[in-house]
Amino acid sequence: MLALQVITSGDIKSLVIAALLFVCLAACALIFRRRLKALLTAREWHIFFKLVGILMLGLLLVFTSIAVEFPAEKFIYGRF
Amino acid sequence: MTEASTDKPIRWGRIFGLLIISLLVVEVACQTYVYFWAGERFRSFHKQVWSPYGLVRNNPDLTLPGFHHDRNGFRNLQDFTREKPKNTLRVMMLGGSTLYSGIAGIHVSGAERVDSGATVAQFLERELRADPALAGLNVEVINAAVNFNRIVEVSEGYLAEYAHWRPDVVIVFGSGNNFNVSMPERGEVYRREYGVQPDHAWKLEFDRAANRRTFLALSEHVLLFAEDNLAGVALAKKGLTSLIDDAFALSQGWSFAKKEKSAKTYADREECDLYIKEYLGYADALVAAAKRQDQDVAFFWEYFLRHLGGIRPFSDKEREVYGKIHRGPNQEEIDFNFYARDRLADFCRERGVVFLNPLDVLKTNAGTVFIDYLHYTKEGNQAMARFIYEQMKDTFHKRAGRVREGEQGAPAASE
Repeated sequence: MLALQVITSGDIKSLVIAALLFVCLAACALIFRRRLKALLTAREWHIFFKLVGILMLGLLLVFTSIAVEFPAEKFIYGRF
Repeated sequence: MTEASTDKPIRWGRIFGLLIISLLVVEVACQTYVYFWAGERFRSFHKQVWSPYGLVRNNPDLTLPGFHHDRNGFRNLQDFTREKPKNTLRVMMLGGSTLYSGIAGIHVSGAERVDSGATVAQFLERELRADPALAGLNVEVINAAVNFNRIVEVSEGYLAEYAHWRPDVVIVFGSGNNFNVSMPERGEVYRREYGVQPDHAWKLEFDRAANRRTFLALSEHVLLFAEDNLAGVALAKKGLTSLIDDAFALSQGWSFAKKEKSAKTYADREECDLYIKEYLGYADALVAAAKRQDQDVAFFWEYFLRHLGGIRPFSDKEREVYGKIHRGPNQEEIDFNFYARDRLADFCRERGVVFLNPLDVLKTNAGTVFIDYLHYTKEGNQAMARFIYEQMKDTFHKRAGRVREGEQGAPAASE
């Protein structure tokens, strides 16, 4: 939704391209899934994605703590 | 999971190696995306940096389409030196987002960010360079605007820093941040909750980021470091923060505990006057310092699109925006805004400084001047620069004469 950000038509074009890039990356991963699977064992892949998840959750935790204390509507030009 | 895979020892080196490679791939993809989006390599998404004088300055390293800051954080493509070059007429423009030429979420259809070569400052510089009376002079028009700057931040910044750039003329924008689109409600001024009275929102953030000694503050600093060095982290923050804010907005929208909106009772004239007096105190300090430094000052009034229904002939695009932001006629709010404008005009007359009221331009220019509820399009900036030039031509000529006589050059060189 990104309702609180200024989005111009130029931004939308670039977001569409970013989404296409992401789809391409996902497609590549799907095509080469056998080779990817061979890189790590199933257990190691679990650990790998757990680490990625921890990283993402850590980011979410910091940003959510800030968002709770400093609501976006107060910062019409964005937070610092 | 197979039996064999659980028996094997975990290859941590491989896992972390793959993690680093994955992060590198993501980083390269993000850097490429930012280059495509902003037209330059990634440096930073932080719009501001902290300043002890006037709270914040624009971040010289900002990477955003159209928004370029010079090495001093001015919204100019060209770099300036604090020491004024000889034979130079220097105009310093101070203010908030109107002068910065920002753009709000609800804007005219198809609009892009106004680039740093097309704000009022650049158009004014072109007007001055084209003036035959200023031939042979070097002209500098510095756009020192910072989004959301109020008179508090503007005057602090000027007194502590910009005055020492020795401008010949200082033009102050930013009235829209002091006299908001709505007027104070009853008691709001006495409670110090209106306009320039409460702490700036970023001041609270400054306290969090600079003064707190918590684990969260430490984590934030690590992230701030990562954000300014890795496009992937900066984009992740942009996306995640937006999603979190949207989620909060959505949950508040659906909340059962929503407060019922009651009819507003506005502040009476006495309370409004008290607020205007406070504003004029800051303006007075700025004018007094400028006079001491032998600099000419002008104040520019920023009109809100919402206040101009029936006054300005809106273009089709402006009418579309007006329709989206119009909350029904409220003559009291309009009257307050125009009353404050007149009080500022009186103040300027008393202090012998120029008051720039662009209402006639807005009444006669039928183009799309507004890009949103307050800020101008490139064409709007051009029209305002032309207006400022016409209104202040005599001042510019007088100052040019003094520059030629060398009255300004000597103290600047000895500084």
